[in-house]
Parts: sequence; C-alpha cells; structure tokens
Amino acid sequence: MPAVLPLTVLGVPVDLKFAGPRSAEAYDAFAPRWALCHRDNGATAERAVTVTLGGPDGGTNGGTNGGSNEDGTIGSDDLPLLLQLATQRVTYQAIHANIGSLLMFHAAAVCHPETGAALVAIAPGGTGKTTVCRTLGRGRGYLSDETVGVRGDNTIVPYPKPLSVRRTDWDAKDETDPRSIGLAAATVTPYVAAILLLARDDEHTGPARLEPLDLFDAIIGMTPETSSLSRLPRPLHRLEELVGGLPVVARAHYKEAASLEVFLGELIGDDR
Amino acid sequence: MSDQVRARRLPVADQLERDGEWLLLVEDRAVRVTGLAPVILAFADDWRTLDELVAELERVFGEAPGDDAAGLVCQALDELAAQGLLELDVP
Repeated sequence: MPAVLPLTVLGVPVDLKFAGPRSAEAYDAFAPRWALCHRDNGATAERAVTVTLGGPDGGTNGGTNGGSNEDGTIGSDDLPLLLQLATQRVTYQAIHANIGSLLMFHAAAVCHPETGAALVAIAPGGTGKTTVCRTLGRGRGYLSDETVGVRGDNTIVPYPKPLSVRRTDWDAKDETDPRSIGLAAATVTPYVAAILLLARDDEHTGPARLEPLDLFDAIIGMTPETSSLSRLPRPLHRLEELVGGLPVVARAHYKEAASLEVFLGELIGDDR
Repeated sequence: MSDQVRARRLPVADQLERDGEWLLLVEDRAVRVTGLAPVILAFADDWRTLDELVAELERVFGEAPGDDAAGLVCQALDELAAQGLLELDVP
C-alpha cells in the first residue's frame, strides 16, 4: 500500500499522505475519488496534506497550513468527514499556491470533449455547482465542481476533484468518485467559451432563462465568487479581457440543472 | 454635514471606465459609480472643499437644479464614503 497519493491540483503538485493504524483503509477510500487528479511524476511535492484515519492522532489540526514545505495534518475517526476535510485542505493549498497568477472562481466547469470549449458556471457554495456537473457533465470533459482556474490566455487549469455531493442532512457532503457517475477528465486543453452566473430558484417556473449581462454587471456578479482577485495585476482589466471576448455571459435563472442542457449547444457546441 | 467638509479619494485596486460610468475594485468588491460620482472622484485626487467640488460639478454639468447644490454634493459624498471610495474631513 503506497503511503502517498501524488496529485496535481489546479496545476500544483500536492501529496496526500496517509498515517496511522488505518492508513491502508484511508488510501483505498481516497485513491479512486482522486483518480482524475493523479500525478504520474513521482517526485515529492512541496505541498502535502497528511490524513490520519482513527488512531491516537484522530483530532483535526494544522488548520493554518498552506505554506510550502509544511504538512497540513487532518485526522478523524469519521471517514466521510475526513474525505470532506481533505478536499477542503487540498483545495486551499492549491488556491494559495496560485494567488497572483491564476484568475480563480468558485465555479463548476465542463467542456466539449473535442474542442475544449468550456462552460464556466459561477455560483456560491451550496447553490448548484456540483449538480451542474452531475447533470451536464456526462459525455463532456469534467473540469471542476468547486474551483476553476483561468490562465492569462483564458485556458482553464482542470481540477477534476471528487464531487462534493451534498447530503440531505445540512453541512455534510459525500466526496464522490467522478467516474462513478460517468464523468471523465478533459483530454484536450479547455478554454473559457461561456460564463453563466447560476441563479437557481426553487420557485422558478417554466423553462430556464438566460439574462444577458453587460460588462459591468457581469464583473459585479463575478467578483464575489473570485479568490484573491485583488492580488492579480490590474484585476478588473483582466476580467474585462475575459468577459469582453465571450459571446455569452449571462445570469441563468432555472430550477432544475437539466433545463440548462438546451443552451449547451449554443454555449460550447453540440457533442452528445 | 458641515459646509467645511473636505473630501479626498481613497486608492482602489483597479478601475474601468465606460460611457461615463466607473467600475472600481475595493479589496475584492466591484463597485459601479454613475452620475456625479465619477466627476467627484476624478476631481478629488487631493483634498477638496465642498465649494471646490460644487464648482467643479457645475463646470461639468451646468448649474444644479433647485437651490441646494451643496446638499446634493454632500449626499453623494456620504454615499461614496460609505462605499470606501472617499475619505471625509469634517471639522
């Protein structure tokens, strides 16, 4: 049983390390869920998260880690909780490493499997990102259900993490192997082709509706869902470059994610 | 607000201008300003008195409607200060 799961997260090498008496059980749980982020390069990563399932180190600590050459250490007797905590910690490390370079959104993204044209669906936590991936992702390239990183040339750094599927009891999520619900990683370089700001509403009736946004309204809607935006050089100009080059930036009003499918052909091209 | 108030623009992370409107980034929050506000912000690159601000706005927009130009400007200054875009010196 390897003690380390080497990952690439938003382009950043991060090692998941396993410790404690139940490390083999933990590894077996983590490995399939993180399979789409697996890193072939066996060199030790500067960034790591150490996971301890059960045992005397079962408490959670290391909450401030994020710097290089340091381990974040998390532990619990509760495997689903540990999986959830590890996703948060790994994501935090990758975001921290990309501050000032990548434009990062709280967003889901899927892309056309051949062209790489990607839909970026921006939304706060708990408002539909994972559901969009589960519903619209099959047959397309799965890029992320949580954090989308955009390079200066508007290509996307994939982060095909475990899907964080919310349970019926509040504040709990099941970390799910993307492949188990038919999602696959992109095999081409994805790029931003369309941006939707998700406005899911249980009271919405009728078909889904896209409300086009002008440049300023689009940026105002996007900025609350960015990470460390002001650490980028000329951040509003960067957003203007991104938004100004897109044919569609809109707020999506809908109830069920499946109702957005009808727009996908226009937004990123027909593929299935 | 006192007639002796002075105002000065605060730095922002970035700004865009389009069709007389400004979009300003304050920390990680984008704020759109329209109407009198872009002119006030452009002029208040250093401490400006209320009289100076009124004179500049009348130069750009013409005479204010009604007889309380200073009151209108004070209201705009309060809003801009609340958004973190101006600092006020109220003696």
